[in-house]
Amino acid sequence: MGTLLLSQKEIKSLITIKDAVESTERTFKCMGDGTTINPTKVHLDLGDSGNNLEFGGGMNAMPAYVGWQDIAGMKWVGGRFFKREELGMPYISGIILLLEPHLSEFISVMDGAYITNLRTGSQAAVIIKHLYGDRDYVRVGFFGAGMQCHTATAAIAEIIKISEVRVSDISQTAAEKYKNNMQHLVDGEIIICDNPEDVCDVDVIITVTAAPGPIVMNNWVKLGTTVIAMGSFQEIDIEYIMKSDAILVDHIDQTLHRGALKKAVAEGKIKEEDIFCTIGEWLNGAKSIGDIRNKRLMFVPIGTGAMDIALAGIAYKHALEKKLGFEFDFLK
Amino acid sequence: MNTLLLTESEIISLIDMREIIEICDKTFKGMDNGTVLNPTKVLLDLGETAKYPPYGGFMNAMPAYIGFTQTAGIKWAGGNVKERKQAGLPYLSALIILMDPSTAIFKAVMDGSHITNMRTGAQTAVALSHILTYRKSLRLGLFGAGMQAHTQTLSISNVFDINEVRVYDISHSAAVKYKEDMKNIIKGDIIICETPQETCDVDVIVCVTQSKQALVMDEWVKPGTIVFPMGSYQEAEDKLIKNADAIVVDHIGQCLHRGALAHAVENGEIGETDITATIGEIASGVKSIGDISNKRIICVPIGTGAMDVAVASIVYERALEHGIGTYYNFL
Repeated sequence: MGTLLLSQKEIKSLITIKDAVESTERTFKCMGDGTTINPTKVHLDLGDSGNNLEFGGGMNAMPAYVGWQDIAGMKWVGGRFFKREELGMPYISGIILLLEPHLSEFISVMDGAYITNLRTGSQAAVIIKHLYGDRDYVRVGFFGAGMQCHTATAAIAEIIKISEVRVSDISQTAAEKYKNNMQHLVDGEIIICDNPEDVCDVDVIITVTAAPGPIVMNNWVKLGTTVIAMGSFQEIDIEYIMKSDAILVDHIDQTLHRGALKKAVAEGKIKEEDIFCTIGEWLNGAKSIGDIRNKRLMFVPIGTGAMDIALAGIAYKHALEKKLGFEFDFLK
Repeated sequence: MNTLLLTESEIISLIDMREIIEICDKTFKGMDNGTVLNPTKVLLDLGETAKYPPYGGFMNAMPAYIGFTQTAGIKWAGGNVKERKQAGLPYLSALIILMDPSTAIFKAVMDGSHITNMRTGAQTAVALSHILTYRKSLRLGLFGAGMQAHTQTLSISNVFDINEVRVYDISHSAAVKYKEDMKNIIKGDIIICETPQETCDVDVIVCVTQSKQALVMDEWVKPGTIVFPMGSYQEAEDKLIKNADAIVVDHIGQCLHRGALAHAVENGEIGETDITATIGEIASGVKSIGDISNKRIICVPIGTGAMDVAVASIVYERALEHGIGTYYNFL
């Protein structure tokens, strides 16, 4: 029994942004209706969350079963490694295993970094589609101009016109690089902001940084604005989290212990009952947010293995169709 | 940036049981002194206990960091008692991934089933070597005569002379096969037992079954006996667990929620404070069980990713030395 190995280069040729947005939307819905199983991820702290190892980073093991594809899998992924930054390597390193659940056989092992970036961006696109989809265009502000900012821009452009982007990054070079790379997908201007407050004058604020402390402050966010916090750490002012009109998350247990809400929960300022509902429940129509023009919303799609496994499942299927990849038998 | 791929047969050629026992010993000590990190494994239930999805299986994600080999890694492993069994495939399927913890470059992807089977046996041998420090030989009772029974016997025979084996299996042919396979490793007789009770008349009882019902009863176990319920379910009666003089585990967080003790914990019969020591504490001499001749000991090495990742990291080093394996670039 062979296992199909797929490289990042092959995966790029096998899945489109459109595939990613569709897969992400469907998987959110299946998390909402219970046909996708996604245990809370388990973290291996290699220096990013309190222990004294010198590596700086950490790895998350993220298993899931995705009902709509009848496939199981696990992504092992991490970032924030000091050495990678020193060597100019991409922030994220990841690998995905796919399992055929009837026979529990490993059908594929593939790069997980590209899929992580793609599905993370797609999560923002799916949220924007359902909040702002009836409009002609949307204005987006990004904190962090790295890889996930690129893929989020591409994913949002797939579903709605972007009339303006405001972007801020601690590295001016990164912001300029983003502007050059992504201008073709943005109808209006990409404005590099020196003042973080200026980034917040948009419809949707997206944070994709490794910042350990708050970078989006409560009094900067206007009515009608949605904040989507996608980092692993605490990028949003706790006051905003507390005063926002609705908090939606991708996975309740996980978001209480990691990411944007972690500190607010630890300090007792936010409790489980303060979460409006999951993104999946909302997409399935279980709860309605109503008119968003007078509301300030907080979305926390911290990332679930289910999104990765679903998209990896599509890459695997397309690889079989196109006869791509390298077959290897681990049981030889 | 190339990742080394290793197959089961390559792994078999690169490491033996004696070495795996040494690595596990070192890893247990590392778990005690904090140079080995092992978060509680995360379970994906594929119908083992859940109704949906209905595949009669599960997968555990088991990450770890091993200080003494400067390696991080994860095993993703699980069992399946439905279609896999019907197809005649082994119960277990597993892969192990190794990573350089400074660059997060994936160093290796390898089969995990052989290492799982071997290290599960080795864990028992390591625990016994630190509990029965004054013994050179023992009598062994086995519940289950499958693959794990073989590796348990092999590992214990590396550390002790086995004077007698008493083996019980619901499949008589499995017991007969075990006897045939293992007769050269045992100094004394291998007795195929008709009843669970007679299997308990030994120094060390090892349970390696998929039984969801208790097999080892409190009244059958004499003082001076160590019981290893190794399966995922409840092989030792709650009463025995409650009445045991000492309970030794590999990983406290994990053992309270899964495996032999989970049922007794859930029913409030025992709690965290009833755990006498970890194997790591005994191995590094921080705690001692002392003379056990008047005691009945329960030892639960439920299995940690640390053992798998440690063994795999040594296998990886050997493969590099010997030029074995296939390279693949995932990027």
